[in-house]
Amino acid sequence: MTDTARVDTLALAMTLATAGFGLLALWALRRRRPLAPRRLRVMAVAWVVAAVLVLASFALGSYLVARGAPHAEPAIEIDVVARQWMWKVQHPEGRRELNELHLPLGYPVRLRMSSEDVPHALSIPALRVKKFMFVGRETALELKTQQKGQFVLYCAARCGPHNRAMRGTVVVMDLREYLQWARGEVPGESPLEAGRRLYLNLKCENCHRPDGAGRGPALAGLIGRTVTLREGTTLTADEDYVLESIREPDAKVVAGYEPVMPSFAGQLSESQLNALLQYLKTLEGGPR
Amino acid sequence: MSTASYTVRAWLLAADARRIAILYLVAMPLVGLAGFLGAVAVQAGILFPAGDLLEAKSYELLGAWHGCGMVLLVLLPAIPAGLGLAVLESRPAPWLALAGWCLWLVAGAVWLAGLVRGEPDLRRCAILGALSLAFTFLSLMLAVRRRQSCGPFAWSIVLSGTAWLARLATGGLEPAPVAPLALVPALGVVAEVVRDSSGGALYGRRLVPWLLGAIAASTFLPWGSRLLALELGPVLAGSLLLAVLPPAALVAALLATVLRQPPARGPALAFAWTSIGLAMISGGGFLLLASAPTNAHLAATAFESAHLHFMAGVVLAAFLAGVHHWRDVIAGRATPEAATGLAALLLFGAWNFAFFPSFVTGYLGRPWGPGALADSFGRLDTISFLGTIGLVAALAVAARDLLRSLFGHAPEPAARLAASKQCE
Repeated sequence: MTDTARVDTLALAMTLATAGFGLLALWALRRRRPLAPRRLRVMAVAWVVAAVLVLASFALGSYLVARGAPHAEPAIEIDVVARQWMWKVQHPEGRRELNELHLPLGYPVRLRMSSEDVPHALSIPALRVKKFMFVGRETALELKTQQKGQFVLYCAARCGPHNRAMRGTVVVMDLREYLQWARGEVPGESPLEAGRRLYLNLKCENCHRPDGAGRGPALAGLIGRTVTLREGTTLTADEDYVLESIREPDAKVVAGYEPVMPSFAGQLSESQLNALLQYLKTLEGGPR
Repeated sequence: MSTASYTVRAWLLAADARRIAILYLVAMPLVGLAGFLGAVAVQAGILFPAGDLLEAKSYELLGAWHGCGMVLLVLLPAIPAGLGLAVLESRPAPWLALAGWCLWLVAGAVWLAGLVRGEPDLRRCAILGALSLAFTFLSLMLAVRRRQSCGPFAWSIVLSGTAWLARLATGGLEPAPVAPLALVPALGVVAEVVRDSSGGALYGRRLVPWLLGAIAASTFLPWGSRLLALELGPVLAGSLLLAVLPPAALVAALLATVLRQPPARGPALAFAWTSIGLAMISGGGFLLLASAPTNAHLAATAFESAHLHFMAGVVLAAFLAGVHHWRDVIAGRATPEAATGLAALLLFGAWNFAFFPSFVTGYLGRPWGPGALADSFGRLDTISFLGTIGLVAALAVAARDLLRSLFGHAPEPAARLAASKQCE
């Protein structure tokens, strides 16, 4: 678990120790009178002992900082996939993003990372972290943010000619805001508004055109209507049928249409499905 | 061939170790100048980010070209070939050294031609440069054995030569990982200069070869961005931090030497102190790159580049210290020293101006490579660029001093061979 402040403290301690030895060396160089042999021996031994002690303390400090502070909460696991020259991110609630990484403030996060083409390295300087990503091998990066805001992320590996374009933004938000964001919710938004936003974001209307001429049946006025399936049977398109069709589109396909719809199982939360249903109920001839 | 012959033909067909060394000393600054101009272009590219001056591809190409040539053709051979051949080798027909020189010339031609063509063949250049250095080291190691030379410089040559041959056997000639080996002969020169300036005996001299050996061995440890791809276990992490101990102990021995007997000051010693100063800054950078949590933040950033360039500064300053120290052996003239410590001071200042800002920009997240072009760090970039230009002034003063020292007086045939003292 990387802790930005601890890494900074460690770096500062190492810098100050080096500067301390530098000042001692400067004193030795400026001295124009020979030092007594006994005093000299003491000083030489003291220098080496001090160097050993300083290094031992750095070794311990490095170990402690690398191990990180233990945390009681289970980490939120986020999948990050790199490819030339973009970052693809998927959050546990199913929300996906491109070249952006939303993170909760002060909550442990575990990034599960891999690459689709060549080795990449995710670097977020503001969080003092960097980790390589490989094809066919998952690496993990554990971190805990300490400050809200937007920070740069980039690829630190020399991954190809457009490496410089492989940049993105880390957005750190409060845990509550993050969870709402991950579920696709907007603070203060009603279920109906959320449903409409989902309907538009998921581009349902691209296939379910209002005139029924799309690759899927029109959705306006669907709920409560009797529909004929490809097998020739009929059923009433109630809420359960609509939810089933979103999760398993191939289970009961309406006559006249091909089973081409992708499944949204696991990609939408219960609250998102309910919001979408609420909105579908209001459709009369097309989205508003 | 008589070494007294000064015709062009005599020089071109030089089969005399000291003449080969002088040829290196003339040719290496020219290669260094080409590499330096490449670096200035890279620095200027950073001053005008967003690809205004230099596209990412050109930046990457120029950076890789600069790194390969400067490390394999200048940094690594500077002290063994430029100083070692003059000081340690004395045979009239050192064929191994001659083979090394010919390979170095070919490597240099491949390196320069690559830039002209716009497609540097860095692999071929690296292999030729590496073989050239191997021949030079072999020649020197045999000379040390034959003449039973001892002293920190002779030890450092044998130790770094052994490490270099082992490196060739194990493969891998990327500039950044092989560069630290140049520290071993550099610290050998510094130790020799300090010893000769302070009464002729190093404090803890029995320990010094072991320390140099430990430094040579530690150059095989992965460091910086090489650590990023590894899971840093406790043994490797501990070894990396321990790798700081031998150079720290060596610096302690050198400081104790001058505290026991204050040295006779001169430009050689001034450059030796510059070398030690830059080594301490570079060592501080190494600490941060060797510790797992800070490495994860700083590897593959401008910080690592700064560390590497400070290491190069250690070698350059040690090289200049050696040229001043052995100016009579190199030029065959027992001349009074014409230089002061000003050039060394200028070098230390300019080096810090040029490269210290990269420690800061690296800490702030600037990548090492074409990604550096994406962001500007304003004032820090300007300071760095001015420092790079300041290096020209420092090196110009150093060159003027050297030329005056080397050629300002009448020839003296009885040159001393300071580093080839018989072992006690």
